[in-house]
Amino acid sequence: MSDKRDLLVRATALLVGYGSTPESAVCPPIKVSLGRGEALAVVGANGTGKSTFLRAAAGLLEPLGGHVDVLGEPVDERSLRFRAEVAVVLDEDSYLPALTVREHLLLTARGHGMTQVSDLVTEVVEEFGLAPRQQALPTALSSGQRRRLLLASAFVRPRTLMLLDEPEQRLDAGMRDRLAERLVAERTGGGGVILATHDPVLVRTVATKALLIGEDQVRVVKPEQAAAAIEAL
Amino acid sequence: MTSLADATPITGRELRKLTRQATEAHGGGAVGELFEEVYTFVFSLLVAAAMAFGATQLLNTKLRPADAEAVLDPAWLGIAIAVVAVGSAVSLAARLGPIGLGGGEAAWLLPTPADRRGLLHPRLRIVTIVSAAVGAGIGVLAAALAGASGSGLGLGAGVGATLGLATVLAVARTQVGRSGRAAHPAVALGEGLVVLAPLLALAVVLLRPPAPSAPPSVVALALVAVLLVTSVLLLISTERHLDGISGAQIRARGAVTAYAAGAVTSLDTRELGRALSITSQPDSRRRSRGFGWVRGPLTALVSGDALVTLRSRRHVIAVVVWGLVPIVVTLAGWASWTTLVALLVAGYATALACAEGARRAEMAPVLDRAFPVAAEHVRRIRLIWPGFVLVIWSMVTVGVWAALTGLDVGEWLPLAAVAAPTFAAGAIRGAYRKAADWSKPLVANPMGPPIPPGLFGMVAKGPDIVVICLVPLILGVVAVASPVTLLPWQLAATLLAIAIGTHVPDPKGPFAQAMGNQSGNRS
Repeated sequence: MSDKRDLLVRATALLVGYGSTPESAVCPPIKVSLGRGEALAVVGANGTGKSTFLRAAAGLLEPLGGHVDVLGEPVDERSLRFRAEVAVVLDEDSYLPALTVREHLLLTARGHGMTQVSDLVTEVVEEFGLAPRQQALPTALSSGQRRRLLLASAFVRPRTLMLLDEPEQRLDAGMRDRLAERLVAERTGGGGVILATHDPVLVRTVATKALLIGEDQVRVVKPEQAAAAIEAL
Repeated sequence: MTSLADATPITGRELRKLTRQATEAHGGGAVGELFEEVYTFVFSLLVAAAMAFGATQLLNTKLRPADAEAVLDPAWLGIAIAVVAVGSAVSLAARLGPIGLGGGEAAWLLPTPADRRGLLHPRLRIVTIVSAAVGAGIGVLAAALAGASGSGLGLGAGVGATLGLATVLAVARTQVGRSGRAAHPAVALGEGLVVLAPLLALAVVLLRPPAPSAPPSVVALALVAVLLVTSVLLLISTERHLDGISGAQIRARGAVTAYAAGAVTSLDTRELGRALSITSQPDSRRRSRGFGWVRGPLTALVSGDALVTLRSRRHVIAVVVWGLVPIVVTLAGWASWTTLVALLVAGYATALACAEGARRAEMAPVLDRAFPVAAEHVRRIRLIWPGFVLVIWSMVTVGVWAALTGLDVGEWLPLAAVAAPTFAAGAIRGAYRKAADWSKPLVANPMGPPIPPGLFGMVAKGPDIVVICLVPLILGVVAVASPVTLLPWQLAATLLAIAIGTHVPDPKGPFAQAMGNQSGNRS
């Protein structure tokens, strides 16, 4: 069992939803934990509450019941520590319109106190297939390229935990493979990853365990079971 | 089964008729409701026109030179306003398309085999009517400022309407039947005219030419006739080339128009600014900056905010134009209240232009969460860039005002510098204000259409602290009280403005809980 210091996320009887009472929860109570070196795939049909759980874990949605701790404390996305250690990529199309792709990544890295970032940014830009478009402004990118930019920005900054909502969205097959490799490296390097996904390959490759969210129950299962569940949907 | 060859494609006109009939069939509106709608619209229009005309008459009376000191005749002001209006019309028409289909219309009507010309006719008609109507309004305003009455106002309306029509249709003509890339030069031309207006006013107050007299009626009528013929030719040419606009262009322009229209309807200037920025942005830059000077979140946030302003021509122009306005008003020799109004309005508008980074972050809070800064500090950091610009801006404008009015510039500059962050604090407060809740029951009001609760409170958020916390400076300008005496009071008021403007509500606090967490987890 993980030491408390190694526990990155712990949800206990967590109820999530967009109402104000426990009755408006979108799924049954969630109990799950994530330690360093682990990757949790959150799996379920559309509308079962994967993204809602992720938003609660990211501190962007107040739980309707239960608790969620991140980095050993009740989740607070407004805190300096959370923002310094947790990289969150949800389904938000957000960028500064005046900055190029490369500038976004440079500013993110330097903003997190990193120096000598040019090589890192070049590497990430190439790995995410953004090299030909690195001088482009975000408004001139396709939705898939903007998605890559958001994902790339999570990899140029320091982090202990990554929260990713359907990172495979709008990515081609090659890019999905490279993303999987990155996430595996993240996990084996001692970081933690939670990703809501519909991609069975990503689940099998990256996850060490999975949270299978159904209408009647929420279970922590093995990645293979979760991948099979996705394929059966 | 009917083969494809047997099918007769529906025309755009027929399709529009069908959708209109379906809308009317499902609308359920009675004649009484239609009357109420028309009545409300006409009444609102009349109230607005009466208010504008009253304000013009007041300006005309107050600004007409009563003595040798006033050097900017309202007639020149009318010309400057007309130049701004033409520039804005060119820029706006270029940014908005101006002919497109947005939302459901684009999704459902464009894939049909119906001809584009028939589908786009209503848009062209709306553009024609609106440009003529707005032009007529501006024409009346300019004529009234020039002291015209009766038939003079009518001629002003005629010149304005045909000028507006010709201007917008000229832009529309450049954007039909082509790739639509003509938007960029048209936007630049429009913005150039907007910059020209305050420069013209500045030249007038410096060179002091005689006030222009209204042209003879025959000349004005000839001008109307020329502009009208030009407009008709442009209209015919534009209409003939409607089929040439690609589906992608129609969708893109329609989306921008719908975005801007939604922003205007909800009185949200933040959304309007974003909508108008879409078509004028370049696709790429020659090279990226290395940000070698960035050493952590503070410098990263400030650098981001600065680049958002400096790389946007629209925002740079706003800073320049609004910087010139108080100087022109001061040089014009009008009453001190006009200087004060110009100072407050221009200062806040400049701060808004520099707070675009915060306005963006309000739309996408992830921009505030992207750096390791606690939520309560982010807004204070976002105050730095607009605060810096406003300190320079205030020292220049107040310094010029003090010098021209024979006051001790050295005494006024510290007061200007201390007062400046108040504008920035107001802009930051306005940037992060909560949008009006359109899901709640609307509140009826006698001035026009029903409005959502809290709309006026939302609009006032930002300007409120500018006006309240600049009271010491206001007293100084109007009453010409000693700036040295006012300085500590202004310092206290500025600190209060900063505290209010950068305050981040705690979503778990008792007030937020009572409000149902509506303040959310912003920044």
